[in-house]
Amino acid sequence: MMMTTVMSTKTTTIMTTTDDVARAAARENARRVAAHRREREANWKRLILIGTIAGFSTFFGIVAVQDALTDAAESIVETADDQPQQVVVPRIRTRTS
Amino acid sequence: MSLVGDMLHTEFPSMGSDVELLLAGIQPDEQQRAVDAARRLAADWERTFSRFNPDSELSRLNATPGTRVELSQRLYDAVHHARKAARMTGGLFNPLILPELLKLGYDRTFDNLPRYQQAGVAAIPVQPIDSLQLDPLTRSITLPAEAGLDLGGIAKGLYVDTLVAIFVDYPAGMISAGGDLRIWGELPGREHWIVGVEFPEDPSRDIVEIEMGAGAVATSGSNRRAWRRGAEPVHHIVDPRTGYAAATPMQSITVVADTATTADVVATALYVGGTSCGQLASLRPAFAIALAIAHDGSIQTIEGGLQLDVHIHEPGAHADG
Repeated sequence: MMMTTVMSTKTTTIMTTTDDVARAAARENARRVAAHRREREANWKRLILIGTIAGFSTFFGIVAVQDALTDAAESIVETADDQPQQVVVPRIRTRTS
Repeated sequence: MSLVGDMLHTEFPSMGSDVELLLAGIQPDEQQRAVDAARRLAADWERTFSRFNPDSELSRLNATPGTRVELSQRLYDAVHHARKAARMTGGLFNPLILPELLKLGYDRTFDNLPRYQQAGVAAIPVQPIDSLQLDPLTRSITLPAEAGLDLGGIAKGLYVDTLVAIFVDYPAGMISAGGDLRIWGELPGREHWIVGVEFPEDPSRDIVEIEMGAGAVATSGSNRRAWRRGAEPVHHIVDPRTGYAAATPMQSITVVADTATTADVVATALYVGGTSCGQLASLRPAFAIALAIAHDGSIQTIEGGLQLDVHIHEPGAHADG
């Protein structure tokens, strides 16, 4: 009876051992899945962050370039304005009336 | 109306001639208002000074010689100016020439005037200017009997000077009424304005150019308003001393002065009196330079006493190219 019990216990133990391994494997698997998901989410976040930074950089880069071009153009115009420009004046005449 | 460079340029007919307006530095939304102001003033001038409009104030005054008549400030000031001018020129300019102009046949607008007319009655000297009585206290005048006023030329000069006073805050401009013109300010990139002087024998070209800063130019001559009276060629510039069309060796005379009114008066006086007349000494302080064009095309330059920035040269030879 005792033996049976022992056996049962063993069996139970074995069975317990088998469940533990399975649970551990499941836990490990779940951990890996979670880690993989976190890693994937982190990767996406990094990708989004990099994309956002790249986008803003590009936008502000273009704006900066545009600003620089505008400044240069204004400078050219101002420089040109400083130069005396002859306007075309209609012929002015005095005559008898 | 057009913009030339940064300038507004417009022309419109008025006072039996053309008004020309040139304004620099005027904003687009101000252009139409400027043109409207010039046209409005020209219409006021015609209502006041036209001797061909029987309802004008001048016509109503001329209809009542020998009677004291209260005048608008505008007409009173013009008559006052004309009397001063007549005194300054020793009578070579005299606004009381109307009866003699009518005897010459100039009794309607020149466009409607027959170019061949029968000989008229003999001319007599124009009444002296001091026969005209002005009362500043009542702003009234009394024309001598059988007299009448013609303010055609001096009225155009006054119009130009009045309009310049309105527009003078613009950086530069030019206003002309029938060739009496006035300039102010400097154009961008140009030190001087260039004013062409029409060659009377060939109005399509200039005989000389005046390079100048601020100032006024007027020309007197007979080429544009001449007709025949019997066998005699006559024109619209009456010599007050004879009451007849002025006999002169000049085709025209152009005068540079500080105002259009003064330039017009001096040009008329020198055309009538000649460039060596006795009044020249008293006229000199009023003008900077005069250019008399003889019938043979030669040009005589008469230096005045007024200091203005003026240079004379052949057409196309100015420094600004």
